[in-house]
Amino acid sequence: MKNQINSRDYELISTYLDNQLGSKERAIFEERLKADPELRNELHEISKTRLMLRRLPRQRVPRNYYVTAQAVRPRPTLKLAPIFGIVSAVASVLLALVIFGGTILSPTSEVAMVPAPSIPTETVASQQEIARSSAASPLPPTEAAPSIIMGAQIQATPTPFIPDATTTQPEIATPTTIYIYVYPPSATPVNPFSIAIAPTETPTLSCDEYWSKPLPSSADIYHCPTPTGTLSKYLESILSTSTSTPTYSPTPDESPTPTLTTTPWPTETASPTETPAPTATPAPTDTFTPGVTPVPPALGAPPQAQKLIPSGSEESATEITSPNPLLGAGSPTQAAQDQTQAAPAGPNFSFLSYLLLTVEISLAVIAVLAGITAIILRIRAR
Amino acid sequence: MIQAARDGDLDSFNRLVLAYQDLVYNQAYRMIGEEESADDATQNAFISAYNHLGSFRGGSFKAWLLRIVTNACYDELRRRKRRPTIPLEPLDDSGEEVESPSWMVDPADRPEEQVQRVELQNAIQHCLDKLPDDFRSAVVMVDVQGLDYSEAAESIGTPVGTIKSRLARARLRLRDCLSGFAELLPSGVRLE
Repeated sequence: MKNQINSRDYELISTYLDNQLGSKERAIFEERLKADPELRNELHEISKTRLMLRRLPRQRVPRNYYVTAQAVRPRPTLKLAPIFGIVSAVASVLLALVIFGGTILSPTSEVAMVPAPSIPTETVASQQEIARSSAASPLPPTEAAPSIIMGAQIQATPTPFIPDATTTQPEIATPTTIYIYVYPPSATPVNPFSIAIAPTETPTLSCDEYWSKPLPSSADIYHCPTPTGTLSKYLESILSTSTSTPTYSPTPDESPTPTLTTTPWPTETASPTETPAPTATPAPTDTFTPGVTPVPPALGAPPQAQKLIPSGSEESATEITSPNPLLGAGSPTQAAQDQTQAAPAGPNFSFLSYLLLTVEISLAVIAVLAGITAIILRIRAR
Repeated sequence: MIQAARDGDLDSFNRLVLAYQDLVYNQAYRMIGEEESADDATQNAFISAYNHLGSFRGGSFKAWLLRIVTNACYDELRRRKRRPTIPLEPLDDSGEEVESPSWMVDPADRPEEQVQRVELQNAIQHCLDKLPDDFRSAVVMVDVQGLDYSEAAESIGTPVGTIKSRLARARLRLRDCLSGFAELLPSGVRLE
């Protein structure tokens, strides 16, 4: 008979004894009690058990449980928890800004990754002088000299292709890495001011030729996508080229070009100078050979991006870029040092990317750790 | 007084201690079944209550205190399970443990009725100790401390329905356990 009473019935019995049943449930249960003697018996025994428990005497406390000032200690974690929470929240917001802020500010992120060539005022002035000198130049219009455009990071610009370097002393504000993009010779002279504009025409090289070059130009990047799976080879080629031995000379009969790390930048612009005519088939060089008197790059030199690292003196910068043989005959040791410093040539895109990634990872780590610490402190405070 | 204690007034809190220490100690004693451990649990509960007065959101201060002491008892019981102690029950002639702790009472100094009452209390405590911790906390709060369902639910931190279920099952187990001590039970409450 006891098996007929299930756990639900015992819960009803217990609730009924504590007077916690509703009026309707209570009436139904009392009807069942009248009809079921077994249920009534169980109710009686549970009631006696409950009565025994309620008759248990109160235990007298053995002592007073006063809390003393020595027993209680301040809980600094209660104050630290919100601080860590705020730190986590701020780090999260900054992380979101770093991740999405660039997208908002520069929707054309692909273009934004490439530093647009800018023309400092000094560069424009020097180019005006170049234009004036080109007007007096005996060179035929078909002969184009390498034109120079400064990268976005230029702080001060020497005027490397001015015949008289003493009359056009550059103003060097601070020692800064300088990128000079030397444009290839052009068949038609153009307005000197146009050299300030990034090349917009399609490169004459095909993409196959472009990727076969040891130093692909920046302009070609716009037109020739990176072949899949060749990025590592491309990077290796850059690295190997940067540290390679001289393989190129501006003219077959002349010595190597001094202390210039070069990257080609094809362009249609021209910058007339008084320097000799260019050779038809230039071979690139990018390292300096000690012991050989450095000579200025000849006209018609291949497209070059010259990275100069001024050491804080105008002389060194002028020495590197001036076509004056006297100025160009600088110390080979110093030139070699310049060459060594100029080894990591090229825009610091990867550095910026790594810096951005480092900031993102740091913010993420701070946000997570501070959040976890805040949660732990709050749990411990409970 | 509670607000003053929350502001850091230790004297106000100690007045609360005096008002509730009997309740807290009895809860600890019925939960643990040992005076010394109940004493420690009670003291720790009051210290913890003072340190966490900031988390008291109002409502029943008694239920809040009982929740703290119940958690302290859980900690003590878990510690006991990790480091089991040697039982104090004596062995009978056959080497079996005498389960009833009534041997600790000297019957020579007490009248027979008092001895029987003490034995009954010990039997009830013995059955309480055999209950699962969750069942024991519910039945002690409702049947020993006299809390209603809602207060017990607030103290334990469970819904009222859970309290009903645990209470019914705890009473049923106690009924079965106490039926083994029928000779100790008064005639009025003797279980069949």
